[in-house]
Amino acid sequence: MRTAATTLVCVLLLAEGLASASEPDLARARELFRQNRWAEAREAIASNMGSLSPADRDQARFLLGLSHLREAELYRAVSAFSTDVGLAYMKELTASKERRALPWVPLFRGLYQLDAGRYEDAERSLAEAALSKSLDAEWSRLATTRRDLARSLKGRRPAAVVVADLEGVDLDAPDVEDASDPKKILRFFDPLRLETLERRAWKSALLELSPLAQEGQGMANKLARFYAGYSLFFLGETAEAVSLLASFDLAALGPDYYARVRVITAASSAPGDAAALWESTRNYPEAVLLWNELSPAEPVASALTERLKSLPQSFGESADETMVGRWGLAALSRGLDSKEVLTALSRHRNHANKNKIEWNDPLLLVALAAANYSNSDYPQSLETLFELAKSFEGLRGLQWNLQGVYAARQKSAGDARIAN
Amino acid sequence: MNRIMVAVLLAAILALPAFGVENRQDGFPDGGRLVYGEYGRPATLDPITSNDMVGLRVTELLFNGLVSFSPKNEVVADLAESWDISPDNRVYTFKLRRDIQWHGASGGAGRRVTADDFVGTLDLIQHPRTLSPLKAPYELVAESRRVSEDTVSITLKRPIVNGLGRLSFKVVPTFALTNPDFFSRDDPFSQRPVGTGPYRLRTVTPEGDVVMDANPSYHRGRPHIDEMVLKPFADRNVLTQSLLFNSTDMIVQLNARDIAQVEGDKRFNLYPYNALSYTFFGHNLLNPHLKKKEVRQAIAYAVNRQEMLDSFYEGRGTVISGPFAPGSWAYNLDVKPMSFDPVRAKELLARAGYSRSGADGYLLTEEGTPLQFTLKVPIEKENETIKRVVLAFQNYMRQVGVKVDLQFREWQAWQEDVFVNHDFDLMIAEWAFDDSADISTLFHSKETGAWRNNFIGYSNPEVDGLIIEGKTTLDREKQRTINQKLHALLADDQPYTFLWTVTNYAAIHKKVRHVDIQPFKFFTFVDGWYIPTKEQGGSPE
Repeated sequence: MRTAATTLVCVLLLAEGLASASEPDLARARELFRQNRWAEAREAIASNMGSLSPADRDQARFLLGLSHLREAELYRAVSAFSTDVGLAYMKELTASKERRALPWVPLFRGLYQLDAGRYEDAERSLAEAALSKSLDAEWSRLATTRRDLARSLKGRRPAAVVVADLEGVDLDAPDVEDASDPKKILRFFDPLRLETLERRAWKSALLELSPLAQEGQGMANKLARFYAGYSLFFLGETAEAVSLLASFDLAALGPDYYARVRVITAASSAPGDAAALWESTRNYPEAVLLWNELSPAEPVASALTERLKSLPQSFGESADETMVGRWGLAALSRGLDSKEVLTALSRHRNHANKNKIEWNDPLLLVALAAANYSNSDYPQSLETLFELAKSFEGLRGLQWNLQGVYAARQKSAGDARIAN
Repeated sequence: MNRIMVAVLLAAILALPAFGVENRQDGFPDGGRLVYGEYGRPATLDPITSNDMVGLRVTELLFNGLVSFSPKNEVVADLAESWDISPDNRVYTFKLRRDIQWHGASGGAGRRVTADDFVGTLDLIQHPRTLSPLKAPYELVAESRRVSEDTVSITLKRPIVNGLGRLSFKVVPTFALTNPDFFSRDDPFSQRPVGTGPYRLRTVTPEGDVVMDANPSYHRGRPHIDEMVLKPFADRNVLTQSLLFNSTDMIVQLNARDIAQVEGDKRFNLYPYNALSYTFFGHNLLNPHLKKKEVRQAIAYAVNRQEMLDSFYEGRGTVISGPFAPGSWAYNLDVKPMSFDPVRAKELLARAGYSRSGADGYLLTEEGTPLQFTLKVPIEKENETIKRVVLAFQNYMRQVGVKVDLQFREWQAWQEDVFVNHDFDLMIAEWAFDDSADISTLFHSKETGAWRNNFIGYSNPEVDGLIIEGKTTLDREKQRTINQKLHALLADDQPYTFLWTVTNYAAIHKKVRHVDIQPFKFFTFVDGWYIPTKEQGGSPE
């Protein structure tokens, strides 16, 4: 089984650096973590945290933090993919003369545009929705609120300002189900749900890692500090992230971590420094992927696209699958050849167990689903999401929208064949 | 010339580099031989009466249609070079290529494909005496007409979704048939077909190998690989061994149990592909006991599908809840698979009137005989996986007091039993679908004749109504809603016990390059595959 090498190394480092994990629950949690069953890993620890020795408690806490962090990265990936699909689905609905008059279409198109950072488009769509007389007061208010948000976000993501209320919500149920024609049910899901799930996971990661970052010892302290800073960065708290990482012993965790810290630090520095920093960090894949998160201006933007193109050549057979997955999504977002991206991602898939999270990193599976989608292989994309949805909540909106895109675009003859 | 015509012509011109050249300009070498293994032999080699996956794949090598599909599943020109669609979306007028000739056998040599061939093929499909699974799909054609030698016009009874894609039927030369008006599997053409495809039939050997040669005048350019051989196997284990011991170069659908072994062999590439397929137990609704919904539901509750999937397919698949594969746009995600619940199964059987048991522990019918079904299992000679599945099924059913007799039947005999004679209580098989997720032929009450797909005799007015509504609407979201309703209804009604969808893997020798697989028809892009010159010598005999 291939695993996410970097994060696993972290756990292994801790295992060596700290007292051995004698408690069976902790050992079980580590095994579940290795199998990418993060929620189950947390459950295995949660009930016995109090009975662990202090050293094992640190290790357990780190594992808890990392499990939330992995989940946050996963939801970030799902959210990005979901936004692309959501926009495509809204486009298909708009193209259909039967549905273009539906008030929900401009509203949710605007929500997805907002999520994609297309603020001006979002403002237009949401203004159109807010003016619609067919929307009831609650949804009209939401359209107005989000329209105003589009004016003020300036590079941030919506969840940095407003989060969805997920308390007691069935995440498989849509935000809106339009049954104005009882023979045609349309469902709409607010993309803010996935962003909220991502944000919640980053915060949980931070919560678990912060005590270790402050009081932990040795390697545990250093790793916890790095990942706490990393979480803060993705929460949009760049200044706090930089502050936490500034006091970091940069050399301690190796050049890759060092490069990433420097990129995160660059997020708050003057644009003029970017080109030089790019040159000194471009050889570290994780740092390159962080650059992608910063959406840098030229000349770094073009250099980044080129670097993303060549990056898979440096991926060995045991490359960190999470990183490979993040590379795939970054490459797709920058318009690289989707067939080549799919081929590169597929090299890291366990073909015999192609959709199982125990055998494939979940984020890699999301990237594969996105690459399949980009190559119009909708069945494979849906099948992968079907398996992922068994372990991770909140994917239904993406599945629904993708089914809608597929339904609109399929052109087949209607053939069915028997086989033995 | 209207706007659609201009757009189509433009599309056809743009497609020229890929589909319109006589000689391939891709720089890949010609030559070599590819032997591919299938589990079971095709009953027919013609595209009219063929109803199974083995037949579908081989006819994809031998025949073409007016239009085909690109790797991104866009409709592209094939034997037609352009088309015009009337404003009311009912009349499709195709301008044919003038450079297509029938394969040089059975009097076909040198004969050009003309409008008469397309009109003749549609007439053949629609003839009352032709037994073809295509009959229902092509009932939508009101008229096909020769406009000129190179122009054919097809009028639909009503506009439909995917009208163009639905006219992708394979054309056959009616002049080569014994009877040009109707067609059956008895016609020698079904074993000696003449087509227009990338490969032409050379011979079928006494062992059943179908040997095909590259068509030198193929309109998309001569296929790179010289010779293609379909090698049928009666034993799934032997099929895998044939690959491992170089008797074949490729297995279209690898046995789930052998995936790890082949993946570990550096000589081969594994290609997963999603054929939108699922395995099921079908219930013959002519059987008075299976006619009761409670009995069908009890069967579903009695079977631990996840356990079977994990044990016999090493977990390489997904338990499903209804008549679509999870990769389909029509799959209803709100419907969950019935759980394994033998207690509930017994309750349902009791409610259906089966609460008394005999001395042997089996439930008794009103007549005092054991509640007993015959399960017809298609098997060539050996298929260890399917044997394990049905033995486990037999055991699960015993636990709830139902006796199941297993009858193993060779594939062709099984098809006769199921599709023609309806001589079964229970059967097991797999359905595969193209992207359209069209289940109408499986469950509409009118689809029950010989060689029709509703061989279980299912009849449910609500399902019929939804199927008709789905076929007549042009609104794809409405079609989706209808299919999701059908999913929920059929999941509750259980005309089948819906089992699972397993991952399809093709195992292909690494010497075969530039492989692109169409998940349903498999060989659509085979003309672009090639074997490097240096590696052409090592093909199996």
